Amino acid sequence: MKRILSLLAILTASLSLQAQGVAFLNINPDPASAALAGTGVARTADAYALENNIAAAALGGPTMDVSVGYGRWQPKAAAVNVISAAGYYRVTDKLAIGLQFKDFAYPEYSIISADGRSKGAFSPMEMAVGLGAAYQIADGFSAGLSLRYVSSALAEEAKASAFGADIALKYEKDGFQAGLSVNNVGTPVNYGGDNYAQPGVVRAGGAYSIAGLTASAEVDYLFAGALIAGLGLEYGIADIVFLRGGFHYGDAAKAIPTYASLGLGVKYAGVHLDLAFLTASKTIGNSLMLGLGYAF
Amino acid sequence: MKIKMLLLGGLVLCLSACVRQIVPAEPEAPQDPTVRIEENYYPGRMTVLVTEDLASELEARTNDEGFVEGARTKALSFPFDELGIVRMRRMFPDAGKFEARTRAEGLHRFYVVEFDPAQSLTKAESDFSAIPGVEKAEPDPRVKLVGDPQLVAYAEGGSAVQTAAMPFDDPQLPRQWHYYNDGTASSALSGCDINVFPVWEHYTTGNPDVVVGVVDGGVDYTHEDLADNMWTDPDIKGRKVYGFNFCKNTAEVTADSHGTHVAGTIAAVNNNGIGVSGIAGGNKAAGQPGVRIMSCQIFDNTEDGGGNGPTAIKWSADHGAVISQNSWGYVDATTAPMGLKAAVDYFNKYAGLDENGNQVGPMAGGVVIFAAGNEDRDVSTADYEGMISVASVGADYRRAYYSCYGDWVDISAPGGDVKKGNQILSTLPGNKYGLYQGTSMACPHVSGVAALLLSYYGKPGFTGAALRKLLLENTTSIKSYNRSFGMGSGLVNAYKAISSSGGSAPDPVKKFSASAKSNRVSFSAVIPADKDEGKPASIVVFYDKKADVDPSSAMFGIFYIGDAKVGDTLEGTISGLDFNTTYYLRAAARDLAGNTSSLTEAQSVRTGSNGKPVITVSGPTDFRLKAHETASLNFTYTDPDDHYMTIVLEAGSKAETLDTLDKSKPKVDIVASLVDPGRYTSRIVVTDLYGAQATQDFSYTVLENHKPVTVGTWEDMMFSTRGGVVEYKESDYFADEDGEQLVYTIVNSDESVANVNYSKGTFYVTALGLGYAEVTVTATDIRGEQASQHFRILVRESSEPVDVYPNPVKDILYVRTSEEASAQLKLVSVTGATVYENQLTISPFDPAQVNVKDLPAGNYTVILDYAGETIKKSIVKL
Repeated sequence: MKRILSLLAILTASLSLQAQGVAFLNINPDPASAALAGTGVARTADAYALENNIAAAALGGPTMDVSVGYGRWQPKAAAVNVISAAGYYRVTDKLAIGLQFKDFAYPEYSIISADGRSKGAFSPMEMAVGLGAAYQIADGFSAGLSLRYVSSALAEEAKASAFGADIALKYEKDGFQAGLSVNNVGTPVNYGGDNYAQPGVVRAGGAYSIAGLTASAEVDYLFAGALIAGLGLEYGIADIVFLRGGFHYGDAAKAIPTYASLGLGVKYAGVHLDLAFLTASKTIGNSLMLGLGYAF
Repeated sequence: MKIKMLLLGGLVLCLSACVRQIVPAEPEAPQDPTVRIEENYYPGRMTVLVTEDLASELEARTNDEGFVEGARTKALSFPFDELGIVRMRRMFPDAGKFEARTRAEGLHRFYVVEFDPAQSLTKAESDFSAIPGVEKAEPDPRVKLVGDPQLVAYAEGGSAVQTAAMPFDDPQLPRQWHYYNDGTASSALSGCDINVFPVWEHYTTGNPDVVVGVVDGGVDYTHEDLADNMWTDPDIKGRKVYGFNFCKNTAEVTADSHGTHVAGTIAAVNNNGIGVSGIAGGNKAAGQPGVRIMSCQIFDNTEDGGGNGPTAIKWSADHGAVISQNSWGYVDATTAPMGLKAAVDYFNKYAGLDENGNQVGPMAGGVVIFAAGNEDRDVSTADYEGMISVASVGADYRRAYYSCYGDWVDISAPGGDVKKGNQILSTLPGNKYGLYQGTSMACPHVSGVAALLLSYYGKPGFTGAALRKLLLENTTSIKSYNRSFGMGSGLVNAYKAISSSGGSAPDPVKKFSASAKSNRVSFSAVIPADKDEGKPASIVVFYDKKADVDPSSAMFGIFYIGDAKVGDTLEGTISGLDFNTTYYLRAAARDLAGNTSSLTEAQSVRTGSNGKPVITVSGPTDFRLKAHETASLNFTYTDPDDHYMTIVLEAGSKAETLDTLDKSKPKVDIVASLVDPGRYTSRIVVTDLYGAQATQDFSYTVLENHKPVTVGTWEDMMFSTRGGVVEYKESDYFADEDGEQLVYTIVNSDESVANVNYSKGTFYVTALGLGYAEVTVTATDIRGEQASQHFRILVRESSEPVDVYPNPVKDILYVRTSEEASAQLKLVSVTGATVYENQLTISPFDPAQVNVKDLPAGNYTVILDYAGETIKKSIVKL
């Protein structure tokens, strides 16, 4: 396993030397994870398992969870509309599959030529659709792989697509969970000029649950050369209402910057509604994620 | 007092560069006629006359284009390769149904050979002559027109208009003294004309059966005053062909000034209310068409045509012409080349006949009429006896200064004499009319009279020889005026050649008296009666320095009686006499038939001396001019004796131009900008025909120029809306101490952003499209001194406080504010990272630059804290 990870690290490190594109891939549309400062890699699987850690889908949690989401990302800068749909299904005791779609619709911008002439407008759009599978290798230990198609349209004449993959591991025992994944390893993105690498990241995290309270922590290393970390706390009341909060640390110039998050989840008869709200950031404060799902 | 003015500007084609003086082309220095000047011959060309046998051999090798194919045919005895022959063809190509008579005259034996032009003609001539079967080889002399195309006036004739009642309503006929000369034209002596008015009145104005082949530059067949009298080729169906272009070997004739002028003299349409009259131009108002002009083009406007004259003359005979009009000659040759002689003989013999020898035209056989030449010498290529050679006189019976002369000249005609201020008025291309002089202009007068005679006499059996005899034997003798020069049998006289003699002479002139002033004699005579016609046609005044005044040797003037009645007093003037000399004058009355009464007793008068011309200046004769200014010296000039005058400006600098376009207001224009500052002195010199001079000096000072300067500084300008216009007063930016109107050149780096222009003291700047333009406005004064202002124009979207461009961006992102400001600029990526943050000073003309080259591709937000508000712009980095 170490060898695999080190191999991946070498591979992705080489890619990281290039400038990166499609940064939206690292923005988590899952309202539950988002409310916990993005600390999803070690959590029990939910509908967005493909985003958080696909390996988790082969361990605990419901047999199936699906959700649709809407988000409004960084409204303080230029609000991006995020639409998502995700879900997984545990086919057998040991095998699960997951799907996820997310779409970022950016605000329209004015096309202006080098001499300042207005040449119309364009609305950029980026989209990723992924498919993953997880397998319980041993009791409480699973591994997963997901593959993703990425499409990015930044301008009429600047459109690109790429394929990428995530590899994930998950371990859980007696209320303790740990997760590790390498994400966004794949073909470069090219808009007709330079190649841009996908925004690779290594995610590591742990969580501990006791008496309806779950604390989670995560540290991510971005291949672009930055470290981010997060802490999250969830309190579930009668498995119906969930209160969430978190704190994220990030380098304001290089990565998702420091923020605090708040969230609320309600679950009843399998239907769950989740909400996340980010604050304490000049750039991504007031971002909102909302999801409606069903699980059994 | 009548003032005769010399037309200067009006006489030359190039009006803008009015010549300072008129210098008629002086005759060339006499040359040794035995020395051949090679450049006067076509290089690499030879006319050869071959034997019948060789002709047959050559013809057998002739291809469809008419060229002998020799180089490949070693069997041919003609040494193509040895002599570097390029090609050869018959001078007179296969004439179809007329080929039999062509061969009978041996014309098929003339070949034009083209060979290596580097070869010496003298050597080639001997080489060709040595070829077996070549009877004679002759280099091909260059051809030229024998008019003087430098001397053209498009509007005014420069002579007073005759007032006599005119037979036709052509408005410019009164200025055609060469048809009817009552002494009014410059330096004119009454009666020096072709005596055509009585022919028009009593006999004929022309007949379309008579075809005149004008071998010349192309005739403008569209001319309003010629079109009705153009011949068209009856053998070519479906389109109108007016002759043949021998320069380009096509049927399309191109209009040429010389050819059109010549054609107008012969057959400009008469009595059509426009333009001029032609000698045999019919009578349009009476429904009578004139003779027809066939344009045989051997010259065009740019080339000498290549010397196809003989070919053209022969062609015209085969196409119906019976009179061949030739106002051209060979540059250097002193006698007619053999090909020309052969063509003339052919024309004389076969014109007017069909292929069977039957007369089909108005005349059996033709006449070939040639201009004598303008070299003022007694040799010419028009010396062949088969031609009618025409010398030129001015309006005073005297040989024109340029005209060739000699015992080979057959006849004379008016051709104009610009040194005496008279020229020939006729048609020019483009519905224009103008004045030329030359034997070229005399020649068509004989052709026109020949055509007129033939219109009257033409019938089966009438021959070319008979026409030649009529022309040459019925002239007005001008021997008394031209004792040293052979001018043929005299001045062509249309009426004398056509009218029958008979009847009795008028009564003698009564009460004849004369008086002199300067070198002119005025007389008065009471018109006597005439038994046959009621009154005589003219009174002839003979004059001589000898007391007996023998009419056979004395000089004379013919004074038309016109509308005057018997018993009226006719007055007239004889000019051009010697000064301070006693003359004796006798008068006689003459009727139309030429019967002349007995002479009066001689009256003696003594001429006076020559008075100097007078120049009168109205206004100053000394000027001070700033560098951009102009001034005019206005003056008039007169001659107390009404002599013809020439005027010369002895200019002190190139700033001066003599302008005599308006005869009543001659002036010298001074344009100070053309010369350096300084003082200049100049002189106007007016000389009369006999050399008496008047001078007028004038001076002017051209002051130092002052450079234009800039005033203030032109600020950069910003438009927030397209279509906006801002006006700037010239005086706020530029000044010139001389007070002249400066000329502005505007260099605009981007015309699509803004238009900058200047009009009447104001600059207008109009915003057209978004962007920047750099504008330099340069003021230039008349001396080329300059001053410049530079400014920038920015045109941007009005609604936007900030422009961020380009978008998408690759390298440098520009951020521009509408006002100068210090602003906090942030660039936020999609993950919320602030990838760039800086405090920047930004202005409309100096936008902030952010290097984004190394940023990941993707969507970003530009956040600018500016002027108390936060402005966000979405951009894309590629």
